[in-house]
Amino acid sequence: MNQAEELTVLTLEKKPDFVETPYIHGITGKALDYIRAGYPVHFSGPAGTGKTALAMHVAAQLGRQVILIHGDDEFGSSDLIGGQTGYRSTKVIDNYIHSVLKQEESVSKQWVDNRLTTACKYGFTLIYDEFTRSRPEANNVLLSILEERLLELPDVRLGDGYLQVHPEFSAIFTSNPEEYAGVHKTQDALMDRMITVKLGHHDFETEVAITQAKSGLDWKQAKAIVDIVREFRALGVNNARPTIRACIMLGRIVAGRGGIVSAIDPAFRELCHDVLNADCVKVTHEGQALGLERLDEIMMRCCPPQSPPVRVVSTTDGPASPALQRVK
Amino acid sequence: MIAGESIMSKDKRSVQHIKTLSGLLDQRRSRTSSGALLEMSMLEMEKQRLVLEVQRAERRAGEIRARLLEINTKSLRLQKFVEKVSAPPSLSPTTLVPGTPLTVHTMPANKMKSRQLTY
Repeated sequence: MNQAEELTVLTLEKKPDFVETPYIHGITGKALDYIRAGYPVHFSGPAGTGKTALAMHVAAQLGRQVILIHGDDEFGSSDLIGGQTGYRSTKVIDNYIHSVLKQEESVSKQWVDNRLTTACKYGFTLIYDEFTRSRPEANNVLLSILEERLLELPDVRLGDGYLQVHPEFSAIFTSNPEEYAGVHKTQDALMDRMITVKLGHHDFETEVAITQAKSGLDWKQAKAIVDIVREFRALGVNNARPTIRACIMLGRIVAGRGGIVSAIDPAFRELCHDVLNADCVKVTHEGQALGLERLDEIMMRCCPPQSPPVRVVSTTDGPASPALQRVK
Repeated sequence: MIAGESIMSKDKRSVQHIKTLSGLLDQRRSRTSSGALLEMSMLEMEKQRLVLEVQRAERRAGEIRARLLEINTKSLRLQKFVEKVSAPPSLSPTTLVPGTPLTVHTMPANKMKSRQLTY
């Protein structure tokens, strides 16, 4: 029973502010090579490293329609492959001869394909975002799909019970490290079937280019913001936060209110205190948290008061970053 | 019957409405010990009758529940039969026949909804 018409497929299109630096090009090219060789790709890394955006970018390059699934603890196999969601009833009443009444009634269960089945059947590109947030047993169905290219469906489904995975089907996975809240361990058998690309934070020029593109600030202002965030991130033992999202937040807010990127501007200092969330850096001295003090020091270094404060003009057609110029 | 009263408006008559001599009681009999003993005996007999009636009803309810279970089981079996009726006849395990390759589906372009997503 095919109910695929009730599903929606996606066509991915990159936004004008999507940044392609050599770093992004490198990862994208690598992932495309793996996928074209027939292997699923798994982007793994901390929050804010651009896994989902990269997965979408790679999927867009493949030129096929995309099915998007987000991992969830409540998922079972039927949420991926489909299930019985109703009954189909047919009734035939034959009263051709007026004195004879013949009735036939049959009731059969209604099978509805879910997104994974549809992707396998028609060769779409599957993006399974945060797949480790689903319980491992829910993902068992992926084992035969990725290795034998065969999807096994329950007996109750009408038809063969086996579905040959379309030759054009490809899969891209993303996940956070296991120590993140709400993340499950993954079975080795599944990890063994995919190529895991470990992602860290973007390189400096990519972060500046992204901040500039998403906020509309000029390159110098974007660089100052990225300098602050990167130096603050390097403090302490947890170097995962703040991420590029903090750079974009700072850039957009400064540009939105026409502020200045300067350590002597109280509004900018306050904004940095709020956005960078000094508590995420556990720097203490004799029991006293030093996150804010260190942040102020960093701000004084990255955008010192002697440099004249620049009034920010929000524009998207300002001078391009060196990284962007290189790509163009 | 009172004049003008409809027949249909009367309560339905049943066995309980038939009056017999046994229904004629002397209201004074419980005032004497022999009368009280007689009434006790009647009450005891009525109680026994009612207890038996309750037991019969419980037994019948048990039978009905068992039958409902049987019906559910049989319905499931028939359901599976209906679903598998289109399947080809099974071969013996030793018979090995060359299989046909599994179908590779093509996308029904007119039935699939496509939406654009920017990233």
